[in-house]
Amino acid sequence: MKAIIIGAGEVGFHIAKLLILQGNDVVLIDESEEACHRVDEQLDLLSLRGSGSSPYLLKASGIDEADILIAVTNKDEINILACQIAARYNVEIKVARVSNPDYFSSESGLTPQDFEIDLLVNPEELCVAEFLRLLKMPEAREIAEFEDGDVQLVSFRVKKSNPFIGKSLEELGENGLLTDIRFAAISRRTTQRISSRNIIIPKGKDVLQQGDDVFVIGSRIAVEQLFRMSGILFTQRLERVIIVGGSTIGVQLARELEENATDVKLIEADPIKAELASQHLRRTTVLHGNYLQFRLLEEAGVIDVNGFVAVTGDDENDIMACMTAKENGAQRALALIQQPRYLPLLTGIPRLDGVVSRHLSVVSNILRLIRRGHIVSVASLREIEAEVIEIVAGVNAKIVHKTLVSFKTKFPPDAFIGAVIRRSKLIIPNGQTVLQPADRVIVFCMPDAIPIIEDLFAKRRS
Amino acid sequence: MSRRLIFFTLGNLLICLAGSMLLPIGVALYYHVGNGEAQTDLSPFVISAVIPLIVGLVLRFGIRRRNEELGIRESFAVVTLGWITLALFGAFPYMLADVFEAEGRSSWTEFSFCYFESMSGFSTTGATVLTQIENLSHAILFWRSFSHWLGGMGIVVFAVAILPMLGVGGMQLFRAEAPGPQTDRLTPRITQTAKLLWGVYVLVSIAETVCLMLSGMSFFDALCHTFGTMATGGFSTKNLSIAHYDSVYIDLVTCFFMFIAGTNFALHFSFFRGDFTAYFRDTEFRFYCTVILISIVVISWNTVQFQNHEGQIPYDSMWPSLRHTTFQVLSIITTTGYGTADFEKWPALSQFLLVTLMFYGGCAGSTSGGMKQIRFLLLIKQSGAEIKRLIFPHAVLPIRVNEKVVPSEVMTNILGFFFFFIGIFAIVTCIMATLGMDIVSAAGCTIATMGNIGPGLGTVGPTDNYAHIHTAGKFILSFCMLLGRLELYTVLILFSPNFWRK
Repeated sequence: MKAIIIGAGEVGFHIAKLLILQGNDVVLIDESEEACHRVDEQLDLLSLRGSGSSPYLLKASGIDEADILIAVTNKDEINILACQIAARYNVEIKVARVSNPDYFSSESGLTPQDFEIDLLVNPEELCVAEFLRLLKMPEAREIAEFEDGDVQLVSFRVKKSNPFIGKSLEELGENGLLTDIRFAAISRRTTQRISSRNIIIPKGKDVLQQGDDVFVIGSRIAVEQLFRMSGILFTQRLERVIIVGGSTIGVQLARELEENATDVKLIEADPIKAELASQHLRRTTVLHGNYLQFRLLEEAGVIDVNGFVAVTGDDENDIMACMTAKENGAQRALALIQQPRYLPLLTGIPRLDGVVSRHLSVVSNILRLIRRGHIVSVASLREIEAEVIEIVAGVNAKIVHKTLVSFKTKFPPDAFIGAVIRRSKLIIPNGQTVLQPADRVIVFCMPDAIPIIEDLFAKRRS
Repeated sequence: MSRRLIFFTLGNLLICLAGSMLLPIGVALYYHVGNGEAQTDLSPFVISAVIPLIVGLVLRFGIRRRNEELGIRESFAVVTLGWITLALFGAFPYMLADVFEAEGRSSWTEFSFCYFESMSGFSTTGATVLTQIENLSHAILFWRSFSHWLGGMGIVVFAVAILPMLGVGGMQLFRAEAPGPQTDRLTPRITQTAKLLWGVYVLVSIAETVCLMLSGMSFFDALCHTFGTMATGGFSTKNLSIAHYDSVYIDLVTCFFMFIAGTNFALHFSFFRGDFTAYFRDTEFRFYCTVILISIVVISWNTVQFQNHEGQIPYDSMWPSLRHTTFQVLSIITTTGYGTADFEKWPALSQFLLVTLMFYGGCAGSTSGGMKQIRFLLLIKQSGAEIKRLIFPHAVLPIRVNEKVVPSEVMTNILGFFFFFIGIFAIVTCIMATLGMDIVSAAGCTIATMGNIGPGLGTVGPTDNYAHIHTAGKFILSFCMLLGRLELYTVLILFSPNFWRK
């Protein structure tokens, strides 16, 4: 498959990397010499310098034989135009990142299809949705949903009070706890370096330790049960939330929260922005001032607030604000992270309960669409470099009609099947499970194992 | 810096080399078993294939590879060490077949002969230490020429093309081996690019073999001369090189294919894809043609009108002069080194022009050596810009090639390259003079090996060979060939202490 990516920013870079790993040909277009140089050094692709909406350059990039065009520059207009040009060349899948909601709001009367866009990605909207999900599940560090939320992948941290500490997974299973749920991975702190963590694909003998980040896959009900048994709050009704940062994400999040929470406050440092935000919001109280000062946070009522969300757009300030809020009694602090480089470092900060990465949200969303046919959805995990994919077993695929044990050698070592959904029933597989065609299978794996998995699940002629 | 990764990749290269030994084994089989040729012995080639195979397999499967990618540093190390070891294993057939055995010659001296010949083959230099070529066995002759052909497009590029495991590392390796200041990428995938380049190379080689066979040349000779031409190497199967045939047709065919081999293969690729004007839109190609045309005109005029140092006029009429001038100019500028005339008998101006052309070399992305046309073109443009800057001190003066501005890092890289080339040339000339050569021969053999040309001046001129050079000198010149083939930086970087630091 051939893909053209426009915009070599963090999003473009990450998508290109994953596409190449999966064996696709990639051409990347960017206006900046420096960005082109960087991808040239690090990725096996062809980079072209220039505007992504230039028909001449698109032609030179071989658009007539491309299957996918992904326009993710930070200029909406270029992205939209690139998709329209691509449509002329019969590019099958066209993805555009559009941040300005005006284009396709219900008042505008326009749809993405009018512009030949197959997938519209709005980073701000994606981030807001993820914050909402995290706020509603107070102890979850990371959530990915499958089958409309019936099956979830959730990560939580094992805290001191957790009754499971020191217990092996086998013991937990004996208590009948592990029906409809499976431990997918444990991310364990190894040394003094906060960023260095070991990823363990757990087996029966593995024992949970304090401070582990545990990833479980299972039905929503089972996850809820597990949370309850281990003394973790599963969902909560949001009472009071403080948002820091009055840019698009902050305002949209506040607007969504107005319907869910009883009291929402938004703090913005810039008086003009604060003024603007207040015009867009009805029930939210907008405050303006330095959000790093305890006084202002106290005024906003940070003590025992349910959720504290920092979305200023400045990573360092966001993190500091979260730490200050946590210190002063906020139950849960979440931050927006722009720099993907920071992500692996953040698991080491105990006062940060969860982060949303703007670029990973976009990447996950795009990859969901462009994975070839039978992969239904996908989530890139933030804290560890792994992916969760939902894949449909094809007719006569290599993997069907045989016990999973017999595949032990062929199945990539850094991947495993977390759950199987057969006719909307969840099955937690074991070695004796036999997959059938049309089963939806949730696989937890490292990115480079995806092509092998795709091959195992691809339908074949008999 | 991951040493285990370097040796792992080296192992892969050695397996490729062992595989390439199958061809000379085939040739030996054909002549030994098929034609009962007594002096062709099979065993040297079988042993020379088995040894790198074993070493390669040990490195390939003995080293547990962690999940790491070849970085820029590792790639430089792999390519340089790879070439040194390739030449080493490539010397085995000469050694085992006792090609250079002579009375009173120690085995160390014999090894220096073999290594020189082998490196000269892989680096497409074509400088030989053989005095008698025609009484060698077919298999040895084939191996000499075949090593040219492998080294021409590059055995590392070949490995990148056929080994899918390299990924990003493949791209770094490709850059470290491919000639020219900037690497053309024809396709998104570097393995694909490498495959296409080798594909074009093979196609043009087939065309030349057919053309040469049409003249009545035997298939064996046609193949060997094709290897020598397409790789811009210069090994022949005849003592007198191409002059042996004394045929205008063969001269013309060889000239044409030397010219093709000295052109950027990315342009040939565009041509094969149906873009027939690609050549003339390329600034470097136009410059290359201009330099060739001017040289031919000046030298053919000079060799008809002027006396040489012995008081004779080399040619009495225009046609023979034009024929031999064209051949010699193309042979030198593409750094092939085939000969149809002794240019040492030409007037001083002609000789000096040819020496200048030795520095020029062919186009970037071709199989030729030298400093490459594009570097000279850019240096000329830069010099012009400096003059202009003195007149308009505030002017912004971008250097353009093919309508594109050349980044200033590339410009400084070329300036550095030029300095290194001249500097190393001077140092090696001094060393060769110390080893007892006269100044013309010392300078001649240095540039002839650094530029991967083959014939130099003086005692290493077009009718002479390198056998008389001191043993130490042979190793130094072998190193010069390596420097020239890998375009200095790839090799020189290994001498920086910073390179080896973690």
